[in-house]
Amino acid sequence: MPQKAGLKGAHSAASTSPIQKMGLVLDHLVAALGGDPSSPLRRAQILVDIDAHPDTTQTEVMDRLNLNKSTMSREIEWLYDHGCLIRQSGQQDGRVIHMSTCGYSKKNLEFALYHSERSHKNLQKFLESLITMFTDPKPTLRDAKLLVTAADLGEASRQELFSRSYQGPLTTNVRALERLVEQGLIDTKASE
Amino acid sequence: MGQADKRYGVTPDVFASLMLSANTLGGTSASGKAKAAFGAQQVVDMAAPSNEVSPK
Repeated sequence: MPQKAGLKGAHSAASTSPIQKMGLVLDHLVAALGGDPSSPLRRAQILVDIDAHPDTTQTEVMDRLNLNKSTMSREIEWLYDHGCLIRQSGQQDGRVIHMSTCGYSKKNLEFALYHSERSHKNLQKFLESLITMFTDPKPTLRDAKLLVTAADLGEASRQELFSRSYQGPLTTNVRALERLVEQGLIDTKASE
Repeated sequence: MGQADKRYGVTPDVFASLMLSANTLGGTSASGKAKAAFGAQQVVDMAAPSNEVSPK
């Protein structure tokens, strides 16, 4: 029943703050990237770009995102190995490889797009704006989620932050939080 | 002060930057979109069902 689905969606949207919406988008991007929160935000950008341009080539993605060849090749291999992409040789030139998103990646990207007005451009702008906030050259989805969670909670203990962020070894989360403090993105103070 | 005693939060500048990032996802706020689609009264009705007993 489309009307009921529309109302449900509207209710969900109305009860989600902009900060919480960012957290949801990050969750869907992690799911689209094989459930790996250690994925760099750049990898998510590449996946979104390929989803926006089905049958695209590596050179085209590099040009659009202004990435160097070694980063691009490494990320494409990762995405292919994790089943996020299909690759096919070109019909006119077999040396040209065309790429498209597929399977769970495509499905989870659709969920992320639901929160960005179904616009790949909006999703790319969102990722780019997050990347520029970090001085770290390779921020991850885990870093972004910790930051968004800290903003959502206002002021929280380390334990509260970790329980609302991504599961993983404690040392990984501690290192990520320390990096955010070093970059001046998160402040600390003694509890009262 | 031990690590467990610390409290963590984003700086006001970072919060403002995050809000700008959130805006890139959509032109209007989530509640704004819902209100535009269904009318403000319906959104209020959905958030607070009429048969709910308010705490005294």
